[in-house]
Amino acid sequence: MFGIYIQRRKVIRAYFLRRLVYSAITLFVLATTIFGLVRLTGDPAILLTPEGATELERVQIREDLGLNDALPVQFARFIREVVTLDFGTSFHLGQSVTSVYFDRLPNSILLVTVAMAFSLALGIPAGIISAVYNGRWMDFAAKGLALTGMSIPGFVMALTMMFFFSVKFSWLPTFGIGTWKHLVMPGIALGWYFAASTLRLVRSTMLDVLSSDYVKLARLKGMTEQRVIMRHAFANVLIPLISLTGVNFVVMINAATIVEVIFVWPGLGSLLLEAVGERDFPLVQGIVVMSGTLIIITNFLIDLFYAWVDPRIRLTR
Amino acid sequence: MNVPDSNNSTKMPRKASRKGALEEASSGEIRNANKDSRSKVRAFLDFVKQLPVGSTLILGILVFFAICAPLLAPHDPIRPVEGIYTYTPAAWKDGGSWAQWLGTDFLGRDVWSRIIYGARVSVIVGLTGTAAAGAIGMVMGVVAGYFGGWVDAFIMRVVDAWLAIPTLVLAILLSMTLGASMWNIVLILGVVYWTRYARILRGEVLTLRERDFVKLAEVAGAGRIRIITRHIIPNVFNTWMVLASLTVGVVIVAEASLSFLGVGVPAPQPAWGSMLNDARAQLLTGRWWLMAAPAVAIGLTVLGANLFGDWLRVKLDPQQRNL
Repeated sequence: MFGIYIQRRKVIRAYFLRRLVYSAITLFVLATTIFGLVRLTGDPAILLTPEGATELERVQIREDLGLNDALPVQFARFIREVVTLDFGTSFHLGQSVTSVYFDRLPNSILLVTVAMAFSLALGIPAGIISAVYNGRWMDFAAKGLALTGMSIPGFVMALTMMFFFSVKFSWLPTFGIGTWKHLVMPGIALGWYFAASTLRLVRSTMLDVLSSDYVKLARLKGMTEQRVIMRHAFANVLIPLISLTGVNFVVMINAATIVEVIFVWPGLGSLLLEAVGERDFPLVQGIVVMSGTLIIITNFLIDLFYAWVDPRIRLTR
Repeated sequence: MNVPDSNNSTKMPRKASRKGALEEASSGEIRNANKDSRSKVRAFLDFVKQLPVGSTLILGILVFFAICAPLLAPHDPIRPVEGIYTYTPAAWKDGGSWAQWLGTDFLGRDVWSRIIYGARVSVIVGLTGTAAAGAIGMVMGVVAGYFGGWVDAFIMRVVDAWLAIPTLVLAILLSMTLGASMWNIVLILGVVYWTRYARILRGEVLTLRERDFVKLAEVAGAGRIRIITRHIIPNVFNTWMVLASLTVGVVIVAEASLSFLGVGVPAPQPAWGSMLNDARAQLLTGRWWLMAAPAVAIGLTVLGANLFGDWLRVKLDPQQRNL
């Protein structure tokens, strides 16, 4: 018995190491892809020089930015930047990419936290109700909510709310950042889709659990329905829910782009879009690699979390 | 408890008899047709009957708009209406005219005609973009799953990397590289959205590869290409269809987002996303219909696609895995 335990630990260690190597390779693929992609979009010198500038000035700018070096040289420099997490100076802002990134990051986290809170506050209760009252009108209402959440794109939702709450009734400010009122519409517009996905996950997991034998046993031994639902059924939803929330949290920072643009929210999404438009290579590379690293780390932790909580999980593959 | 039961029992036969009468009437009509085509017509009718009403209706109207746009649109979607140079109000407002019932946009173009033509972009990009993503994903997933080893490991790392790049930014970078045109958008969406197919199909192929019929085909000396095309692909096709049906809505939204940001379908061609962007500034002037029209069009289309996808999933994937 003890032998099995030691073997299991060995397997977990091997699994951990393999995942670690995989994550490193993923990061490398990601960095290479974004390095190549930004360079394919065109010449930033054209955007950085005033109209009517001579070719000589452009050559000078390219030289200053290090764009005249051979691609392998640029790539080596970029990889060193990735490893040291210092992405140089932004072309059009003239500030260090890392400082711009960390200036904007709190705004993004604030928006995403509000959106996440909204999606969980709506998705979890609606999912539970939908599963408990399976097939009744409340279930249909919840399903309708899930369907509209999946179907109405965030930017359509954003513009609709803007029309009603800002223009028509002037309850909320149209755009910008400042008071809690500025957070309401962007938060809902962003959290909307994720509320639907949370609802779906909670509902399907709850339905599975509620038809299982041990829930039947709990009912048979006279447990109140409320306790059955919260202690037995909902406890089982927590594991997949935590992993979904973890993934969503990081995905949201990226998905917020269009919502941030509409509400002029100074987060990472609008910064990234601006950087893409200006062909600001260091800024685009920096944001994508840093946000991508966050996602890769989250996925890595979730894999480990699963391996740790669920011993049945297959560790080979 | 008793009341709804008795209600049901009185309702049920009536409903059933009505349905029966309908069936008799339709089969009576069919009897007049010649005998060979009768069973085909019957089979077709059976197929139509089981389709979900709401989503089929929405998608049917959409496709009808897309195909018959030149016949349905009252005006040219690209050129201004004769004698109009800027905004005109909708029909129910003062100064509006039923000839342009949704009014005209900032260049004097008829909004309703642009909505009808916009259906073309959504249908074409939605279907071909999904197919492009599905084709790439099918090849990658089958190759990864069947060949295994470092090929598999590499393809899966590319999938992981793709999932870590914001899809919108990936699409915008590609569209800046290739130049904006409708077919480039199709290609771009294919390159952006293939990962989900690849990941799930790879998993299916991994288990298929161990099945007896594949092993026997290998023993019988069948080549790899033959095994993949005759034994693997037909067996993952249902899953592929379900994934495709669930991707259509995502692709349509992605196209609308790109057009909204001005990097999608290029300017004079009417697309719902770019119409929304044009209408954005008009929120403050109270011309809300300019925004409502494309918003409703996008919402309904995606709703129809999602409903149809859900129906197809239940039909083709009875175990209800969470794809």
